[in-house]
Formats: sequence, structure tokens, C-alpha cells
Amino acid sequence: MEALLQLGVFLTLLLCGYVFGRRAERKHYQSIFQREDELRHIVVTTERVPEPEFLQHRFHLVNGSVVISVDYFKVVAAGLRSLIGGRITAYESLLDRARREALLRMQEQARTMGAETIINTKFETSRVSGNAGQGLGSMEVLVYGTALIPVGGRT
Amino acid sequence: MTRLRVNPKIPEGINSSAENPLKEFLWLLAGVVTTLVLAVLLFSVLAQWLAPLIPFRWEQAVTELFEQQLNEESPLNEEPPREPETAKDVASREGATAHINPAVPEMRLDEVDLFPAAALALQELGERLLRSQERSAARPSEHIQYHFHLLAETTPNAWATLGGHIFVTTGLLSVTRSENALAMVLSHEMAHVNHRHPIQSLSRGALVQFLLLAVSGGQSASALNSVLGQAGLLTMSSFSRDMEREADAAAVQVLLSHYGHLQGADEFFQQMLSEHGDSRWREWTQTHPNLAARIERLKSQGAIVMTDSGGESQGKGAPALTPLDPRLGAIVTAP
Amino acid sequence: MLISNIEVVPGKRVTQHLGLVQGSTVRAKHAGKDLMAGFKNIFGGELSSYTDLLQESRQEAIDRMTAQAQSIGANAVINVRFATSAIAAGASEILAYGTAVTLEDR
Repeated sequence: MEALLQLGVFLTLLLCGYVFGRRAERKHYQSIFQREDELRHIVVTTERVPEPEFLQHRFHLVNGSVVISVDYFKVVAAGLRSLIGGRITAYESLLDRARREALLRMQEQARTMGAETIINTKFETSRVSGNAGQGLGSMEVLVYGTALIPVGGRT
Repeated sequence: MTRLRVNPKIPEGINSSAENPLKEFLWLLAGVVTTLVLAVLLFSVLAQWLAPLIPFRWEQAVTELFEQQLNEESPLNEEPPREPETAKDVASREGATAHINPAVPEMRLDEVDLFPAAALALQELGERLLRSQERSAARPSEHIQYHFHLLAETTPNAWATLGGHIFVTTGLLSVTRSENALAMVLSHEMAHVNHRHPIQSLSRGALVQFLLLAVSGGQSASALNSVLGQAGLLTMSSFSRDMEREADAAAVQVLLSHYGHLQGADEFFQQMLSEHGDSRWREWTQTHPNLAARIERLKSQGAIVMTDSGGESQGKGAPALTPLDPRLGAIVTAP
Repeated sequence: MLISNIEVVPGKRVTQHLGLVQGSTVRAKHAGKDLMAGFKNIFGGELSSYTDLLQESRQEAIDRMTAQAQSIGANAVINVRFATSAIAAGASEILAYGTAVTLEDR
């Protein structure tokens, strides 16, 4: 009886995680695609030295960050995968979304400053909280860079 | 050199796969659970083969050590004389109650021999059964010494642990009306000891625990672990049910040899059945086969005449039941 | 495909900047390797299975970054950086990113 109850709870959580997680992922990707198109003119590169044509621009640090959490389904799927080893696809799409979201937030910040180029972009990923040692708690993805603001742009 | 005017549009599916995660998940789950169940089966069979090779004397030596320790220590505020493994044994032994994990009866030294007369009667019954066992087909291959203990505990229960120690609760005596029923329970537990079941389930439990620990060592998702643990337990409890059937079959041999009939042997099961009910569909989650099936098997094995839960004999010419020893019967009325 | 973490490649000239490309992967070793690593923690020494894991992951991250760069018509990725993070017990995420460019001999 106890075993069945546990199994029932487990399956319910799994189903919830799957249904809601899939829906959230689909919606998020749609929104990412849309905003990436809108912000395509805010150029992001990893160059360290600005091009000579930017020499008259002002510089300002911009960043974007996002803290994401996993759904139950992904945790279980990743747990199973780590028994066998190999690529954990459940987390890959999650981190891909997070990173693109962080980039978009940085681009938005740059846009409000009137900048059109961000150079020396760097990424950071860290585990921020919860479930220490118990799978993926929450991940923070931080992206930062230097926005080049044309003179006359807002700060 | 051209300066970058817009960010590139990079095709999807490089850093993430578009495949439905459910497919991968189901494959993984099936694979892992199958592997685990196979491993537990392998370990269980291994335990079943190897455990009987451990000399019974070793078992006895271990339990004697505990007894000695106990006698040296103050009996009133010390831990009861049970091995740490007894809890597991209780769960897999004669758990007449329908729970998968009956609470371990707190047994204190002052309770163990609370009823010296009754305990003596129990020991005598055990010895009589032992002599019948020697004559029956269920004779053990090596010399085994049994120790019978009576516990003041209202839950009807009986179990066997390492070293040939068999425990019977007073609650069990209060629900049995005839000696035959008690003899059935005792010979069932003796059969467990003969077949070395306590040490088997002990080593099996230890091996499976180790396996699960190894699997979940660097592992996340605690819920997943509990599910895998359940799969392991379910596999183990199927072995446990086999043991019960084996013990039932041996007990029937002893009873036939002792009384010449099986009348009253199912009394205790009937009693439990009428009190707790039974369900066939959840047999697979339990350490014991379901009661109805056990009664059926008993009936098919001997010319047993059905007794109803009230214990009244219904068949014509049914062999008479042997009444319970008055010293044991006295416990029921004792405060 | 030229992958480098320098900005100016000697003897080459950047003809076109194509933008940020990135590749990432999350990988884990199987439970047996995790167990062995646990034992190894008692005695110390190199955890070669985890070294392999991270090397494989890094290679895969580079491959994915390269695939992104190729898909937008680049022939080099410059200013490449790596970021490694342990996201769960026994699982690590490796990110490689850089700027996709087209290079030409000077």
C-alpha cells in the first residue's frame, strides 16, 4: 500500500513536471525567437578591443542574468541519465534557454542606453541555491559585456 | 573589413535537441529498472545459495554473544536482546498483521519471561513438535537448537530470528483456541529456521542495500532513489513470499506427522483474515502471500475440514482439536 | 575551421565579423564511475574518468560552437572562452563561446 502511494505521488509529480515543463519550454522558446528578431540590431561580440570607428563612443558595462529552475521531470530524467552516463539533454535545452534569455536581457539594457554594440561579452554559470548535492537546484546564468554608446545616446 | 550590423540567425538544434524527452526517458527508465531488478534477483539467488553454507553454529555464536552482553548489563534500562537486524526479520517473518512493516515489538528483558509457566509450556510444545519433525519429511539436515520465547505483546505475531530463536506474542495465544493452530505457527517458524531463512533474508537485505547505495552514491533525485528502492524491495518480497510458502509446506508435514490431520491448522489465518481482510491485488507489495491463498493451499494439502472464523467444526467426523495447554490458555485471561 | 582565443590572427585579416556563437553540453559519467570516483576521494590522485568526462564535454562544446559558426558561413572563431560549471552531482556543463569571423590571408 505504502509502495503504491509513493509510486502514485511520484507519477503525479512526474506528469505535472512533464506537462507544465514542456508548455513552459515551448512558450519560452517562442518568446526568445520573437525577441531575438527584435533585438538583432544590438550586436554582441567577444572582441576585446573596439573597432577604430567606436573610439568616440562612451562605454558602459551591461549585464543580463536569469535564475532558472528545473521541473521534476527533468530532474528524474537527468537522474536516470547520470546512472548510465552520457549527454543530459534535459538540462541542455534548459541552459540554452537560460543563456539566450540572459543575452536578451543584456541586449535590452544596451538598447535602453542607446547602444548598438556590445563587446567583450562573457558568460558565467553558477548554482545559486537549494538541494545542495540533490540534483539541479537553481542555476544562475550571467552574461556581461561593454556597451558602446554613441555620443548623444542615453546613459 | 565589414563591421557586424546584425546578430546572425543561427539554426536551432545545435545546443539543444528537439526530440521529445519522454521517449528517451521511458527507454532509460525501462533499462535501469530492468537492470536493477535483475541485479537484485541475482543477489537474492546468490544469498539463497550461500547463506545455508554458513554453519548454524556461527548464527548461534552471534546470538549468544548478545545474550551474554545482556545478562551482564542491567536488564531494566538497557536495550532489548535483539540484533539490529531483527527489525528486518520481523518485517519478513511471520507478520500476521497486514502491514508490510509491523512495528518491532519493544521487548524488554523483564517481559521475556514474564509468564514462566506459559513459556515452559511453549517450550514443551516446541519440543514435542521437534520430535514429530524428526519423523517427518521436513527434518533439518544439521542439528539445530530452538529457543522459544514468549513476549507480552498484544499484536498477534510470531517470528524467527538468527540462532534458532523463535518469538511468539501473547496476543497470538489469545486468538488461537486450539493447540493445533499454535503448533502450525510454531512449526512454520521452525521451518524458517531449518531452511535458514533468517540468515538468507539478512544477507539478501544487506546485499541489496549495498547495491542501492552503490547506484545512488553520486546520484541526484531522491525520489528516483526511492522508486528504485521500491523496485528492489518488491523483488525481494517475492523471495520472502516463496520462503513463507516453503515454511507453510514444511509445517504441514510436521503437523501431519504430529496430529495425523490438519484440522485447525488454518485457524490463525482465518482469524487474521476475518479481522484484517485481504486483497489479492496487493499481494505483490507484501512480504507474505495473501491469507486466502495460504488457507487454500493448506486445504488442498490435507484432508482439512473448513473451520469458520468462529472456530466451530462443521464437517462430520472431523478429527478433534487438541485443546490449548491450560498454562498457555491462562495468559489470555491474565491481566 | 580556425579556433583561437586570440583576437588578431598573425598573417590573417578579418574580413567580416559574423557574431557571437556558442556551444554547450551537459554530460555525466555512469554510476559505476561515480562510485569509483568516490573511492578515489579517499586515496587522492587524479580522477581520470572525470578528466575524460570534461575533455569529452569540452570537445563537444567546441564541435557545437563550430557547427554554429559554419552554419552562418564563418571560417574561424576567435576570442574563444570556456566556462565550466558543476550543475549537479557528477554532471558538468561546459560552455564554449567566441566570435565567428571570416579570415583571409593578408
